[in-house]
Amino acid sequence: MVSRLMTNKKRLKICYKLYKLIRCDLSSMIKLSGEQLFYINQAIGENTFLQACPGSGKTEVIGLKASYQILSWQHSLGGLAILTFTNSAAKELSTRIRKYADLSLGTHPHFVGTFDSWLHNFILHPFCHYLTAYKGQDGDKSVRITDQDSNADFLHNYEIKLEHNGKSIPIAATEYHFIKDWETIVGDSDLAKSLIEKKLTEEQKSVFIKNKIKFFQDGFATYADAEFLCYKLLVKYPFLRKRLSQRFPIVIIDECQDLSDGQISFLDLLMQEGSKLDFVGDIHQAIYDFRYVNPENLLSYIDVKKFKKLYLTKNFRSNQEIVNVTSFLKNDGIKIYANIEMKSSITCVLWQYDETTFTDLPSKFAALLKQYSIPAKNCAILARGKTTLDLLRIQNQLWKFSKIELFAVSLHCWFKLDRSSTDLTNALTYAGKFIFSVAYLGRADIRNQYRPQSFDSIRWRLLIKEFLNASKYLYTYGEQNDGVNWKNWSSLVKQFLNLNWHYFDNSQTTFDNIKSRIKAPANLGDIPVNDLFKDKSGHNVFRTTTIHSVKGETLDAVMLVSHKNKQSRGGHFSHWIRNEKSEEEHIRFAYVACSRPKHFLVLATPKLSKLDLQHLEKIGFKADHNIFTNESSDGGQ
Amino acid sequence: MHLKTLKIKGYKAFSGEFTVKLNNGLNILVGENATGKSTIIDALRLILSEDEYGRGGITASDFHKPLHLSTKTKGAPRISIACEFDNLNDDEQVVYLPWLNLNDPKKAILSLAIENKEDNRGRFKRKIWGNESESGLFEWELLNRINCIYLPPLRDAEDKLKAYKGSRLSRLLKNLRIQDESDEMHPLEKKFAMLNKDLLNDSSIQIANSYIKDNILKAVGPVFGQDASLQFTEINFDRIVERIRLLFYPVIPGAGSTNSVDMFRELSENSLGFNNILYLATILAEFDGTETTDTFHKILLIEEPEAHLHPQLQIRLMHYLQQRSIENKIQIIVTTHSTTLASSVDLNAIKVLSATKDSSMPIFTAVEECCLPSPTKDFLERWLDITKSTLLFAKGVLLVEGIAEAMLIKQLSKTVLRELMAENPEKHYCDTLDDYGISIINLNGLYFNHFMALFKGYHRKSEDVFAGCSGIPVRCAGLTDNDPDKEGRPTQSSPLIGKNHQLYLVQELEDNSINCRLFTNLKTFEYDLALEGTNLSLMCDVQLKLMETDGTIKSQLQTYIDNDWEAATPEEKADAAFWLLNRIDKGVFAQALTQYLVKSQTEFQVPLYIKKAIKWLVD
Repeated sequence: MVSRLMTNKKRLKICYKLYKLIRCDLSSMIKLSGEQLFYINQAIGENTFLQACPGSGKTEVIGLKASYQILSWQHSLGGLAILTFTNSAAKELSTRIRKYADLSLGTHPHFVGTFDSWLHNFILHPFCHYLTAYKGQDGDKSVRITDQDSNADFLHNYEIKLEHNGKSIPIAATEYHFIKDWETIVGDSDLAKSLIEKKLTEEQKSVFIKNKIKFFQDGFATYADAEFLCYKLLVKYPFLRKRLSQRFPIVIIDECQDLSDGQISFLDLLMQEGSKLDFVGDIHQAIYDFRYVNPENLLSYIDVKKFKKLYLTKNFRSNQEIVNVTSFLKNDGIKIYANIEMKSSITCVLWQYDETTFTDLPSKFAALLKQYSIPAKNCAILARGKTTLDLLRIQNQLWKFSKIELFAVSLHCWFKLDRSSTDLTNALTYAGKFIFSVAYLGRADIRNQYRPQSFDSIRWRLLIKEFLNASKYLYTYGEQNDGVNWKNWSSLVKQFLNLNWHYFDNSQTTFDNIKSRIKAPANLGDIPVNDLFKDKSGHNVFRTTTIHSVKGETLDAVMLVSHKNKQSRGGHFSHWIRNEKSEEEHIRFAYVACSRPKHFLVLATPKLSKLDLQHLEKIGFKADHNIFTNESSDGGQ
Repeated sequence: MHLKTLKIKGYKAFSGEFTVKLNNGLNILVGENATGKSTIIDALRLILSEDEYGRGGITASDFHKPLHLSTKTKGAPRISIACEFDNLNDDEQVVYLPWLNLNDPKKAILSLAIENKEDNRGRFKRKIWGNESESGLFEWELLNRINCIYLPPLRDAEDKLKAYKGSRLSRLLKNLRIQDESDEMHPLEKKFAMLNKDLLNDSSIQIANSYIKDNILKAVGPVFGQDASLQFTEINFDRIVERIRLLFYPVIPGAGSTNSVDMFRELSENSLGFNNILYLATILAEFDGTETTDTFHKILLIEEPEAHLHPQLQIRLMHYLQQRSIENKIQIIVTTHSTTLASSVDLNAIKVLSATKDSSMPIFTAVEECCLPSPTKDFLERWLDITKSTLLFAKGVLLVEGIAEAMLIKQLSKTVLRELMAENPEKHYCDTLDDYGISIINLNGLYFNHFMALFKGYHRKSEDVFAGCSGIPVRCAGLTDNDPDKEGRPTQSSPLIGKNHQLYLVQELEDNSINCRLFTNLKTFEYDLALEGTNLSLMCDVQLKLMETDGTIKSQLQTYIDNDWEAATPEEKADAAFWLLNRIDKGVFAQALTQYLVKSQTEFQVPLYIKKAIKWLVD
């Protein structure tokens, strides 16, 4: 809170000093708040935690701070590590830093990127084989990262059989990992999770360990293993720890609430060697529970290691009413100040839907926005669970498609009249996945249209293109829909594959081997193929997505939709209200969703009891009971 | 840090993995032609991204092709080059962290691979990585901090020192500029700006300028017209320094004075050799100029620096390079065919490349690893003169004790080779030792132990305990005299025990060495020559012609010339040989005998120990 007391004179002085160094207008520098300036200007001499509220301009502040550090950098050997957790966030940070610090090419010796890429490039790839004793292929000892949910054939070599309820259940080495030492096993697939939760015997444990060691020795690892291996490397090689700490004397972590326990342990080793840690984030936005991220652990780490705590309490994104709702949810007593005007006297509304009115939610939301001339483009409908979303949204999800559906969708994306670049990407990816799954074995490069190892990516994409063009006559369910159903269509596809198998260079199987796998989706044989693209949810023009996927974004308006019943894990509004039974994680989800919009926040719930209604009204929502009747008020009067 | 090993595979002559070991400071690569000296330099330039002379472009012929296959066959699937750096200090360990060997953090690895697959622009896919994993990020900055400069052979120094964009001089001056890093106008730029102003005040310039302006106006009219001004063009620093060139004056000014500016000559008037020295001086100045905290290692690659230099200059230059390599921590790698160069440096700097008989990969030997005991190393450094250092370039070496052997054996070897041919008609023998590339080296004394240490491939660990080590892989034979008691007259049937202190080597070499043998005789070279066949007649005849005064010796000689030696007993021969030996001047006699043999084509019997030595060398 020191920062708040900064005098105007001092502020201007700092502004001018930064302006002289950083490539940034003086005018935008002056707009920075006292808190922001204080943080940017502060020398990194001690470990710091900056608790930044939503919309606090955190990315900009890190960009400026990092640039300031880079431009006044004195160390001749090492550099800053500025890390975050998603590629898009890393790109954003890197763009800003390069602009402000006037770095035309790379940022060397400083590193800006995701935590994983940092870990992989500086520790895992160069050194992993020293730990695993992997012999390498053609002199290349790179570790090969395998997806946790991969079901490639070679994984059968790394399977253990576990006796459970009289059945022998196979668990692959990719389905579990270890934390810190070999003591803690964590399941990564549902099956492994449930078996491990039932407590393993010492004997079973050692089987798990042996299998994992074999997996490592052959040069493989999953992303979760990577963290474990890197930690082990630092523990085993003290000089590596020391040198890495000298290489990166300062580590800035953006979105620090997403740090997993393993990552904290890793950073702690560097800190012990003298690196200074600078954590920036919003602890209330930690929604990565599945990745073993526990904000409680981070908070206690920050306390135990006596990090200096700073705050950004000015929200430049949302209006005061929305800020009040989010403040209520986080409940930590720190007051947050809004900085934008209210578009209406009521900006947080509560709508109660029922079975019949549920599908009208998008159009009602559209009507509300139209009233205030807010374009739908930058608004979203959010929900926690997929079931709620699926009812509201048009597009299906890639991972739910069967083989034949993949092919159908890819053709549709490829040949539709107004093909967008998203369609193009989807067409290639879906078709790639389809071709790979019918004609090739081994591991696919998911990032390159499921490219099999024997192809380079260009040749693979060309193969997909030619294959798609050759199958044009199969696309009969498009604009002039002929009503072909799945059963008939799949036999057409079979014929086509049989005749055109030669497209698949170096295929590792034959048509006869796979023909039984080309079949209509389960229970859909008589349904027209075209149904796949039918708009099932009325007129939803909004981006309809999970809370996860809008993390860090600024939206004009948000409609947060509660699941209709309480059984949904964390998706029901009642899970978002703090009481003795509530789970903090669920509330944090609601907090992330509610802190996105600038102007309007709509909460859509099933019909509420009087008590629930009171609760929600206390949080700050105004109920509009007439929204689904004709004389609906606009919610703003 | 310094570059310790270089491993090359699939590149040019190197099919399998070829390892080059280098040391800190100066390294001299010697060896006959086509043993891969330049390939080693090229491999270093490839991996260190040194591309001043366009080495960056790899062509299909750079991929190794076995000699027995046609040139059209596709070469090795990939070129692999790996460098290991050693002795990284703490700072270097931090910077080169991703390259470090975890088992020995003083070592770092850099690898390059080029796939033998052309893309449609004719380029070969290449990948460079630190350590042993190809995956992950490669920080180019780390490679750029290793400053590598290359000087090609027979370089046109004059051309390189001319004024042009990217010339050596402009590079040097620009590098110096970077360090002062101020935004202000460089004093040079200020001066040129002033000059421009003055220029415009000159009346002839003003008149010319106004003519030009007038003509523009008339030609295109006031709408399309442009303003024009005559100026001296070079007004920014970069352009100015690109116009600077080096001149020379062949005399260094005396203390306190300077040569006047108009005395300096164009480089085209200078000798090629001196231009090379000037060029090298500029390069070394560039190393000084680019010395920043960012540079971690400096590598200078020079091919055949002896070009156009007379021997004294070569030696001076080599000493200077050696000194610079130590003072400025530059690792210098030189290829040479100059025995002058090879004989004027620390022996440990010498790396020998030897061709193998079956034309497979050459063999690399670092003299440093031949386990030379330090007295031997000191001795060799003092004694390796220009003639003796040819042993580093030879395919085989015959060591002899003195001038007499050195002169005669060349001639005798022809006889031996002829005889060998007659004995083994199925084998092919060359006519002379020169055809074999075998050098006869005169040691002027009994120093076989020292010289053979380079070749023998083992060293004595303690009394009677020997251990293998490196040795230059060519055959080396020595011819030494048995030297029994001075008055002794040994024969085949009654030999005497020798007093030569090197004789212990005969057995020791046979037991331990693959490449070295020492061969010995009954008494001395001339004595043993005289014992063979009817040689005595001929030798006495030669001596007779050398005699200037008449007397008993002359008549005795005449008796020996006429004697029927085929019928004589070994003892009679021994007495005659003993008598002759005491009456000749070895050098003069050998000279005369050689001449006689060359002219007369007379058959002359060669002692067995010489025959054996030559057979050992050529078989």
